[in-house]
Amino acid sequence: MEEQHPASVTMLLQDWRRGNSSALEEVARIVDRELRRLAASYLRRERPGHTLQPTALVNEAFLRLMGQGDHIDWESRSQFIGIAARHMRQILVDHARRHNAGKRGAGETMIPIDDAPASAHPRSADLMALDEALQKLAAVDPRKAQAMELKYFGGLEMAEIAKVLNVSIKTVEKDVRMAGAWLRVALSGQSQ
Amino acid sequence: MTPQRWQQLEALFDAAAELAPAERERFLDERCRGDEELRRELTAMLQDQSDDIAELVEHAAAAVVEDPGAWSGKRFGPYRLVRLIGQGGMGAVYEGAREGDFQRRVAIKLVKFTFDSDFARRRFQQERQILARLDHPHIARLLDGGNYQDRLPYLVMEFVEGKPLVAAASSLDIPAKLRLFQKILSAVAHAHSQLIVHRDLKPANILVSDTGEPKLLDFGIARLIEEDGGGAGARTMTVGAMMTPEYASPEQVRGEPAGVASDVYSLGATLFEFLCGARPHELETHSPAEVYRVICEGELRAPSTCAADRQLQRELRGDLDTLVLHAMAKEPAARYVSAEAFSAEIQRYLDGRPLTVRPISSVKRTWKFVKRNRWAVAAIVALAASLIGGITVSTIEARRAERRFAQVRELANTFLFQFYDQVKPLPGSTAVRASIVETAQKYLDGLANDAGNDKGLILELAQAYQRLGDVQNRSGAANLGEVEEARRSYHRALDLYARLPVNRESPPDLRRKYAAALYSLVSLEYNANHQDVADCERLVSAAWRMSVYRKDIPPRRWLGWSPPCALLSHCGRRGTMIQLCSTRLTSPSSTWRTPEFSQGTWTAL
Repeated sequence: MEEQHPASVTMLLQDWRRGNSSALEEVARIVDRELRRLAASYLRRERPGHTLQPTALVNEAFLRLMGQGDHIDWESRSQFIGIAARHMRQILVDHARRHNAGKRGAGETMIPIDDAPASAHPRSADLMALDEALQKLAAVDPRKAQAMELKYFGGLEMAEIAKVLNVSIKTVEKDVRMAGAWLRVALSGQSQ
Repeated sequence: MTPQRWQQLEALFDAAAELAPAERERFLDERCRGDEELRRELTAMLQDQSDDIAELVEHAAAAVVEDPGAWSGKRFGPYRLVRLIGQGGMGAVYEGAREGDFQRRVAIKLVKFTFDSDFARRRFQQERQILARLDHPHIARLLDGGNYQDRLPYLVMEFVEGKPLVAAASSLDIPAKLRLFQKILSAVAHAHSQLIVHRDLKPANILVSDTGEPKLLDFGIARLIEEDGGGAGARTMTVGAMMTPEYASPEQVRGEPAGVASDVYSLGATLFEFLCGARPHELETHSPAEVYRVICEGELRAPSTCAADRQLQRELRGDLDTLVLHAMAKEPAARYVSAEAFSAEIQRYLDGRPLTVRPISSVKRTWKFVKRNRWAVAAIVALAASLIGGITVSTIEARRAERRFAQVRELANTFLFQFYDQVKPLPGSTAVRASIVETAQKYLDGLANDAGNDKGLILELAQAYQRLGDVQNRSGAANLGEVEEARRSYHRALDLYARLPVNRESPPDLRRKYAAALYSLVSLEYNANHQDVADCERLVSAAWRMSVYRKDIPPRRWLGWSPPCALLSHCGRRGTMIQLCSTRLTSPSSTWRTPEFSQGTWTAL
């Protein structure tokens, strides 16, 4: 696999801001590949003892692709994280879908090996429910959906989300409070 | 949902969220008139939701890593994985088949563990060979094992068909259950005679075949994986991750070496559940603090009190309670000396002869005399460090800050304090101590940044910082760096109090807490042999102002023991001291100006 030079993603993002729309597609492709590669390294158990944390992964992808230098403006960073958050979400959803399909196919009784509390078990179905709820949310209020994505899949802080969405921090806080409450209700099945 | 509907929902939610919970009801009544669905949805949204989206996302991500389906079809030495049959905290178990001998079914266990040294790898190999010699009709044989791509260890075991103990034997009467349990005891006794302990005995590790024969799974596996040649901390982490707390003995929870007596305890816990259907302990969480409290210090209930119906309660009360509880004594020496002894006692019961063991006393059940095994303490501290170390301080975590309240308190009051001092005299514990303080500090800093205006959290944090400072200060005499750190912690505590703020109108309890923090700082400066006289005077004035808050201490007593006075005296400023003291003593507290501390005041002080 060819190495991506850190500077090139930054340059592509700048190209995009200057009006070159294909530059964004190129960035998205690079980001997606890097995130999948990183996620796969967990799957191959190259990182024993680590739990995959989506926001940490996004951050790692950022550092790998754009480096840590001072030359990175916050616009590039937040654009990058915005793209990465969306792809991170997609990767997790793809995986959850495959995982669920596999479970239905097996049709065998599982023997519990231990008695860990239920919350410790992966809940891939929940992630798909979250994804669906986010899609519904995006249909009526795209900004709130994006704020949630940036927060939970990208790990951005309120102030950063505010910059990406070009609104005040207060607005983001209200967005997140309202959207979070709505999502939790949607996920707990108390509402349609 | 239509955009109009959404806007309506949003407007009402935003308005209601600003109201006090008590006022929301009326607000919703007024504004949702007739629209029951809207009201229902808003009410649900305004409730405190226990679920957390960040957690959900992380769990889903964990599923990516732990997806056991990913291994199906892969080759492990001469074996091929056929299908997943179970998974859990320790790893996943697959049915496997040997190449060229498909009739032979095996169970292949992939263990969540990786070797970090050649030593660990060799050791795993040796232990495996010892276990392979374990041959008993009620113990699943270990057939083979190896390393997948030199990293991931796997074990090949006899394939056992059967149901887990509790489910399989639910229809048996008590004598039949006891006879089945004796077979389990004979298997454990056999292994013990070979100097092999199980360390993770529990109902789920015992399968019962259609013909009613039990088989014990995973004998010695815990030990195999656990002793990887790492330090005490590393070893305990593994134990912590692996053991099933509900069946773990107190000494295991404390991280002490687990031997025969520990297996006897777990057998008692297994029999407990086997007989009455309930687990011996109810753990709400598996946090180290809770596990420690419940298993090591909590009072043990009797099986009869947990039985679902009256008749079973009557049957269990008396001898059967005694049989089980004797195995589960907190003190290892108070239990049956061996699995055979346990079995012999059960035989007495079955034969209708009197038991030789006596009903366990309440003292033994509570066992307040916790043995202070030093390494155990180190181990628990390591667990505490892992508890807080596992928490990445980030914005997502800030969402949970509120729910972490209790943990902050627990951390500051229990782990940090109680165990830090006990680890201190241990040789080689410096790194553990440093890591504890460092992780605690990072965690508190993260929370402090995100505390916002939550007064309850700010107060908790202020107290936690003070205690952290106390910990740093106590070890400080030898290490100047730590004095700096302690000073920083105290200042952070005072800054947090200033955010509340604290003044003479504050409740006495809060003033006392604030005074305690000031007092800690003054003591630190005194003990640090502070030579800067001007600085000392400023501190002493602060301490005097503090005394305004300490109305519970008669002013005259300050002269005798207060560090501020000693500090002044130490700096050769007896005159100032006497002057200050007499001013304080002659002024009624009502005329004494009460300072308002702000962050600025403190940096200036």
